Amino acid sequence: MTGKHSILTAVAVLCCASIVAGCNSGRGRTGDKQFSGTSINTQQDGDKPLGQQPTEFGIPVTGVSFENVLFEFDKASIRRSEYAKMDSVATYLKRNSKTRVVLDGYCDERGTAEYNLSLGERRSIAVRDYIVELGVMSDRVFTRSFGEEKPLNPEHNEAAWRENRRVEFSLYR
Amino acid sequence: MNTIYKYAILICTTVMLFAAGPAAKCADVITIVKAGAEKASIDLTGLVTGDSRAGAEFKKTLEGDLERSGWFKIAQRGLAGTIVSGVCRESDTSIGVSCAVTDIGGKILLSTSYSGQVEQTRKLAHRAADDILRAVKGVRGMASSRLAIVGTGTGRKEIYTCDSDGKNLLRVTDDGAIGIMPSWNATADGLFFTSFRAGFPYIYSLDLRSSPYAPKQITRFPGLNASPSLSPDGRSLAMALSKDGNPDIYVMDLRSGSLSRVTRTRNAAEASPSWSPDGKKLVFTSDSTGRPHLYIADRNGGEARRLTFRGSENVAPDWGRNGVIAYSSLRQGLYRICMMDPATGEDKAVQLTNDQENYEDPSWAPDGRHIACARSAGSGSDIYVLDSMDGSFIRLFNAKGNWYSPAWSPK
Repeated sequence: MTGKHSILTAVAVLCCASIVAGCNSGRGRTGDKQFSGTSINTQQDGDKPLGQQPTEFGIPVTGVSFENVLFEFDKASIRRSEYAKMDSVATYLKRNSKTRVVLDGYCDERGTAEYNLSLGERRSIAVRDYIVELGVMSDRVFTRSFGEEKPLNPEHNEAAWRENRRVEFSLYR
Repeated sequence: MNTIYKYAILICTTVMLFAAGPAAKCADVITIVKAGAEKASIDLTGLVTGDSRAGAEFKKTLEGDLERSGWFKIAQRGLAGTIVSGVCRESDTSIGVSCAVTDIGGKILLSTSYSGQVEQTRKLAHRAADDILRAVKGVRGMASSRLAIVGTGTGRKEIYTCDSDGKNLLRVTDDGAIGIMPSWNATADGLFFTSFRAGFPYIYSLDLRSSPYAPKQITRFPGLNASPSLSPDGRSLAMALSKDGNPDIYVMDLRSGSLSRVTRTRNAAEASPSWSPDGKKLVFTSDSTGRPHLYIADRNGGEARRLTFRGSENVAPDWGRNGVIAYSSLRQGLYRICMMDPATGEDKAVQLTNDQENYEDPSWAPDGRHIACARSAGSGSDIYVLDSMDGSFIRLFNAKGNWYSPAWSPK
């Protein structure tokens, strides 16, 4: 997914949805997301399969850390402000060809654990897709979702939730 | 928090207005069913326990089960329409109970006996409660069933089981990692669950009759392996996997291990599959419209029908064998337990909780009447049992830690 127009996605979905419903056709297309009023197309292609994770990842890389990519509530689209963070990770990975990265996706505590586990995975995959698009081999990038488990900030307020909706980078050599 | 929810509700309302067409109406109808079926008065004073401690425990457990069933109220001697009489006998290590149930006209509805080791006293009482309910009301009970729950008593999430009355709470996993999303096997003597015990979230099965603890790994796909749910015939396991590059719903044939893909929604997250009573369809959560809502698809895939439009989120469906889907709906900023017959749709859906707490993750009891769910207040979470016929609810047990994701056994 390119995701660069994500800021406008919600608005676009709403506009398109209303137009589509007006035509009574029941389906429209906005960017890379299929939208439909009463049903969803379950036959879309274009996803990039994940590589099987190894049993052992090797030694954690210390002395290097990257800023977490942050997300909006219930969203997995990448905000404009977050691209620079992923760019620096991709640059590092290209310079250190033996390094592998695990992308850990997290959600805030609101919502049910099951949905949040899927949402966290989608956040990891959104970051993976961008890093792979920048030229990092996909067999060095692994996704893992913890959903709403393991919050970074255990408080129950907006500031904590903002910190907790994140993808973290863990590097291994 | 309020602003976010206001925003979310506004968006949802807008989508409903413009996208949903005639299928959705914006007016939220909040209905709490208060008119349950008439409770039968039942008199247990004729069940003689003498000085048997096990007998007294049998009687107390039976009385609690009958009240909890929702179908009975315990009456004083001579004031009941249904009379239980009998004798409890205790020897060194065993208990025997013979009892008869008659109606007010003296007609015998049930005449039976129970015997076993003293340690099995509660189990025997649960069996008696279900037998009495069937004999008097002709319906299935829940007294002998159990629940699987996620608990944090050890400081980490592990899976526990308990009886339908909240007693006999036992930890059944020992992963020292995150264990979540328990669901039962067809024979109610084993579980499926998701655990991070190997670092990544994989699906495991556990035979509750065996010890020491030895879970069997069912899946090891790249990425997400979650939300296991067994088909009614016990042959297939629905699950959420992300191996193909996005979280989607799949069905695995448990004998051959072969997988079929149910959803194929790019850039949308699916979760929480639950089977229709006939095993032909699945209800699940998808955020393909931007917020999570419920959809129904054929178990072999194809187009999915959107089921919910009201509330800003509708998640965690459990399709009961009574044909009714229980789910959690985010309305006015709080998660409410709702239930819906997919044949009549959301217009006829019933909202069961209406106070200032969040109720999530509903699971139908085998009696088709009660629903277990997690109620969170502040940062704490406990398991509650709702009576879908009269709207009442009780806390299942009081134990240290937080409790989530109840799954009621199929029998």
